[in-house]
Amino acid sequence: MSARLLAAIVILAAASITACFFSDGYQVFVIANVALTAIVAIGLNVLLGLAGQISLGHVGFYAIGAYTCGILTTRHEWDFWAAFPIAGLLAALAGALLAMPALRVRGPYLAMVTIAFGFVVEQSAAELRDFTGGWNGLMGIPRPALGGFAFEEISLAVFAIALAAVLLILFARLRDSTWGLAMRATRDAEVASQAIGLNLVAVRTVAFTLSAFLAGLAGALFASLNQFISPESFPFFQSITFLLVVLVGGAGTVLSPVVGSMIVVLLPEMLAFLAEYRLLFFGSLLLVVLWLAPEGIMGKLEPWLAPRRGAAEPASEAEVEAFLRRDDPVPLSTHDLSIAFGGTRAVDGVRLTAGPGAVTSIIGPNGAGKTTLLNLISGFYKPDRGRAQLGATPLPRGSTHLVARAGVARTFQTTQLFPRMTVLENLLIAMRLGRLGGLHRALAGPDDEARARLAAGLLRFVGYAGPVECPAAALAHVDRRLVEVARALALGPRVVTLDEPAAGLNDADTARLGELLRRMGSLGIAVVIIEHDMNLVMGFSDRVTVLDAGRMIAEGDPAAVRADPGCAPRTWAKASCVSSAARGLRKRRRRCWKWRISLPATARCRCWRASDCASVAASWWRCSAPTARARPR
Amino acid sequence: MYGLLALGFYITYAVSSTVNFAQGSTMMLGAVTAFTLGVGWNWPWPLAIAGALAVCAAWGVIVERIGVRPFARRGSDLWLMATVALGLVLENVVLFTFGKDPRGMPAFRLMEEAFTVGELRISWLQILIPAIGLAIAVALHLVTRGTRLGKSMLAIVQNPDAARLMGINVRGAIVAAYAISGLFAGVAGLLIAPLFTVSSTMGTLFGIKAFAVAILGGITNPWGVVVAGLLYGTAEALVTAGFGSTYTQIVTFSLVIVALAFRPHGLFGRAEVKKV
Repeated sequence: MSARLLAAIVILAAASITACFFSDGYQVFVIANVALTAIVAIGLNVLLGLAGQISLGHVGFYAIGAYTCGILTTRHEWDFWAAFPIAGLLAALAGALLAMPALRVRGPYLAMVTIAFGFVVEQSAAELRDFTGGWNGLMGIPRPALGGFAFEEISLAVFAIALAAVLLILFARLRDSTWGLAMRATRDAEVASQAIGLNLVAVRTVAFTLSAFLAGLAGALFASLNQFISPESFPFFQSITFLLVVLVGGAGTVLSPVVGSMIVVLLPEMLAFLAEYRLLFFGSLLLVVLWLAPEGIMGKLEPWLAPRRGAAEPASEAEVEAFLRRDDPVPLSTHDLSIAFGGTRAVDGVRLTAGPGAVTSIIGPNGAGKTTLLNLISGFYKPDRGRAQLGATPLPRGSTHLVARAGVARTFQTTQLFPRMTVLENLLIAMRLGRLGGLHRALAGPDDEARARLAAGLLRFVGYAGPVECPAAALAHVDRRLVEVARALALGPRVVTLDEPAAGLNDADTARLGELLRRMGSLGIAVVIIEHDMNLVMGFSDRVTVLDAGRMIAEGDPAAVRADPGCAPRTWAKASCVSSAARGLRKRRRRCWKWRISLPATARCRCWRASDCASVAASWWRCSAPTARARPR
Repeated sequence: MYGLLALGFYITYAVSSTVNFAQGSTMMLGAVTAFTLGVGWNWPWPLAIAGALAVCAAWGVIVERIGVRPFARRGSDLWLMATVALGLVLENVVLFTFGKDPRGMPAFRLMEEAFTVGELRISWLQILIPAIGLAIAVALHLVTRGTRLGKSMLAIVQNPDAARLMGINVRGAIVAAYAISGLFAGVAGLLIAPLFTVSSTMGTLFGIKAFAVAILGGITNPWGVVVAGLLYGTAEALVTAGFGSTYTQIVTFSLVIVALAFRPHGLFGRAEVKKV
């Protein structure tokens, strides 16, 4: 966390505490409310800003905290300081429980789950009269006391401000810690975050729980400050206010909860003559902010407050190689791996072996099941039959993050970096291999010096020469590919699988990529690539496997495969034809087949779907490219 | 009733993957406008109803233009908040122009007449509501299957970019979807007004319940939405009969959470196959 940011937090806190002493009772109450709203918003910022999950029911957690405190202190005559943490913990428990359904749904479905939660809490507060006093609410909630010192409105306000300031500092630390990085990774690219070993469920549950915990604490303070709570204190609209605070401030920025709550709570108070138009004001404010500054006010200001640190000195080549080298190399193999989607057998009994220290290419026409094969290996799909194993240990089936932790890294056909994280952060989180450590250590501050050096070294190793502190979204296509490879290497993998790494690269870049793959192989890593670029495949791989319609039709070193008559483009086309779904059309397909021989342009293949024709044409074209022309027809 | 409002969510979501989150306030707008035109200005009822529906459809278009399009174009999810904000603005404007007090909508004589089946007293209105809901669902089905507009909408649902390249006016279709969605909300508002009172806050809870119905039905499946509307209404009635009206919301919303926990894509929705 930068010194400027820390200074800003301290100054804000000091200024608001000073303001408390120069204000009348009502103004103090308003300031305390700003602080409480800020505390809830810090929690919501963890959920929305870091983990990217929306909640339209946060008032539910706030209410749980308030009622816990209210009931314990009035009915059971607990001390406030005993009830305060319990209130937070109960809300956190509710958060963890709500995370279960909320994790399975997304978008509007998630919004609905949280809305429903908020309503259930509000209505329960109204209906469980024996506990909550129903619509009459709870009255006479005592103020806390510490030693001989009794907290008044003003001291509670100061306490709330101090708490908010401490939480802001902790939030800033969390954001740059392993957990913060993990949450942002799951927000930016769910699939890729699993592929670097992050447990999506765990990360999001923690975000929900933390978020609910803070809302619960703030709720308890609210009960004690207000001394009276009723279901009317926690309407659905309040949840929207909390969201508004975070969005106006700028989701994900450290100061957004403070700035947002100042605007949202203070402004209507200052414009007292607008009292009746408050909702109108909120609505319009929200619209204007959303239009003009979708990244929020602090989204514009924070880069100034928190300048990016300088890049670390990259680790030397030898250190990088020492990190990557596998002294106990093991091969990746699949046995009878199969999966069907509907009636289509996308991958059918594939036995692939990718030796360590070698580059294995998988080729075949579009739709041959290459990417599906990778998805089976890396656990995105659960195979119907068969298994993949690393040496003698079977890989976990259908669990992406466990496969990644076992040492199988991958890249994607369309690059999937974490766009709103920096290049360096992309690598730093991957290096953790999903092991994030305790939350307390995350909050103690980052200790990433050595890792940052190694990450910079890895970037140099793959040939990335750009800046390490710029958001990944700003990179050019080639650089994205390279950074994605570096991120895969940051896992310290035994196997790296790359899905069409050369797609969109020019010849020079492709050649460099080929060299890189060779170097990765020479360090004892098993490299598996899917590729259409015949220069890359024939020039740089040690083994080539040919897939068609989900089956392996040839396997061997590049020269052998090139000589294999089974791999002539005609055979590919024919196999795709046979694999098409409707079997009754076989006769017409044969006729079609004849046409294709006489007419390489497949425009007249009426019986094929347009996409089939395109893929056949594409494979025909690729196989006639200069390198492959030597093959017998 | 919920089904009707929920169909409004369905149609915009299907075409543009966005919804007017404040559909409830559109419904309120329909009821309030009809009341103002019909009772306040003494317009003949058919004209007042037509006017109210037109206002609702226009409001749908406005929401799309200023609340959804600027955000959808950027690919951000903020339309959700923007439509909520528009709903708030609308409710407040109505609050100031229409007043705070809820008013009763005069019902037609036909609607007030009731007949009894066994021990149940059923008014014509209670029959009319599901009948109109079902009729609209059937009409929607026929339109999407049978007309060019419907077919182009189906194409947009499946692949908006390809549809745009094929010369389909995607933006126009989205605007149309929002207009239709507003229209449905207006019809719902007109039907519900005689049963309850007309006020600026009448729509909020209804809107949320309707959204719950749309989500439960699996928002991409029109028949699922209609069936979910019936189920939700029945569940509400059963809970009210069994535990008393006070627990209605607690139980039904809890059921929504549980249902989504087990069927994340709604009761009748289909999971999309994820591709990597």
